[in-house]
Amino acid sequence: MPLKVATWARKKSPWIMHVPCGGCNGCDIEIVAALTPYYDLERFGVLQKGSPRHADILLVTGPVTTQIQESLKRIYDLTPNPKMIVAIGNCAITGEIFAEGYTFAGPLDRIIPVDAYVPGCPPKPEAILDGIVKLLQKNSEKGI
Amino acid sequence: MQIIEILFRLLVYPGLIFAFLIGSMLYWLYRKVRARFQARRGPPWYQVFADIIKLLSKETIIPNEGKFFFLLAPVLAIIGCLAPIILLPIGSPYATVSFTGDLIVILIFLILSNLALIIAGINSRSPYKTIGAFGEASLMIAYELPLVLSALTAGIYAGNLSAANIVQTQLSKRAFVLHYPLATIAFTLCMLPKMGKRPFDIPEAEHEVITGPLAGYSGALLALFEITSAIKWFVIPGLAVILFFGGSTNIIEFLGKCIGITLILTLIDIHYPRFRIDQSFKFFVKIALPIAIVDFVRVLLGW
Repeated sequence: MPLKVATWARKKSPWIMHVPCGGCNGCDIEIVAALTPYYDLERFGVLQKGSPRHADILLVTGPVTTQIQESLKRIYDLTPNPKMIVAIGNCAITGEIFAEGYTFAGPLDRIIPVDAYVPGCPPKPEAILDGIVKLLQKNSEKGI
Repeated sequence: MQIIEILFRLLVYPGLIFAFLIGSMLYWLYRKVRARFQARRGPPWYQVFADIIKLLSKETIIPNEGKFFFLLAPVLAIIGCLAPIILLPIGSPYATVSFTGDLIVILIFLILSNLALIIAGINSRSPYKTIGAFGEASLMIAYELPLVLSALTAGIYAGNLSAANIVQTQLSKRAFVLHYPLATIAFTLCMLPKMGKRPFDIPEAEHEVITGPLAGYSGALLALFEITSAIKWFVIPGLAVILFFGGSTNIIEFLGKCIGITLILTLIDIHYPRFRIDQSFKFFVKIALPIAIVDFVRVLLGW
């Protein structure tokens, strides 16, 4: 029973942190658009947090560059369990046009474990919301 | 018997559980009203509970260095908010424990919960936490004096620095807001930095110092700070009701007045952007302090 309450609370209060990892800024702008009053993420309990210690979900955008690789691992370790990682945009999933560049260290799931992928270049705010909601539903069915 | 009664009053009614329930509903009211003013739907009524249950169920990371003060700060914060409740006459003209000068004890305990933020901040090498702590320290210098002066205005008029006596005086005469409107305004302005609300939320600014001293906390310890901020939404408007807005003879009237003050604070919070630290300091020294002094001099002269 206590676990059920915790599962419910985790579904109703996902706090996100936005981690840009060397993308072209397109996905970052779409994440910001998803946080505006038009979409109003706060009605689902989503709050944007600046510190990984407060976050439940890390929204990672961009191909991971060699420079940010270590910082990303560190941010992942700083986030308290249970944590969820969402790869936003094609770059985070495959590397897209940056895949053959000399600074490319990704894609993201080679560096840290990823729970959900939101494709698109850039994905629409609706797609980002849909990805987060589906991830939360899947987790609450599994009882995490 | 008396110890059991005091423990009941401290932990159940009107202490921890009651204050937390009412405070989290007032906190939700603040978030909802703010969302409606920004043309949003806003969070559902259970949002604060969901946040706190989630934080309690998460992993709590404690750093190896500075462990003692890291753990001390959230405990001090919650004690500082909770202890004044047994001295406050909530819902009746009589407090659980009352003695001459308990107003001073209430104010000191409320300072403790702000002091906890400074302890949490300077006990770290993180620049965000340190900047947040210094912001809190410099704000405290600015706002504590008008806060205490306006609270003393009410106490001196009642003839006794006791919260219960202040309420009884107001019930037999008139609410002090009619006698001393300037002191009431000064007190209301000082409540904003006390609760960490805009335009004076410099120590806990989310966008500048990523919640300042709270940045390193996670899990259950962050939940303690969230519970503290929920209780603050009950205790500090409650103190304003007791000191200036006439107190109350029943709990419904008391909560109604608390909701009114919450709405006033929320409207100020919505309408103003965040001030810089020097602007806030000047505001309190040049505006809040003089109007508090005017009413303090008036009460000393007996006008």
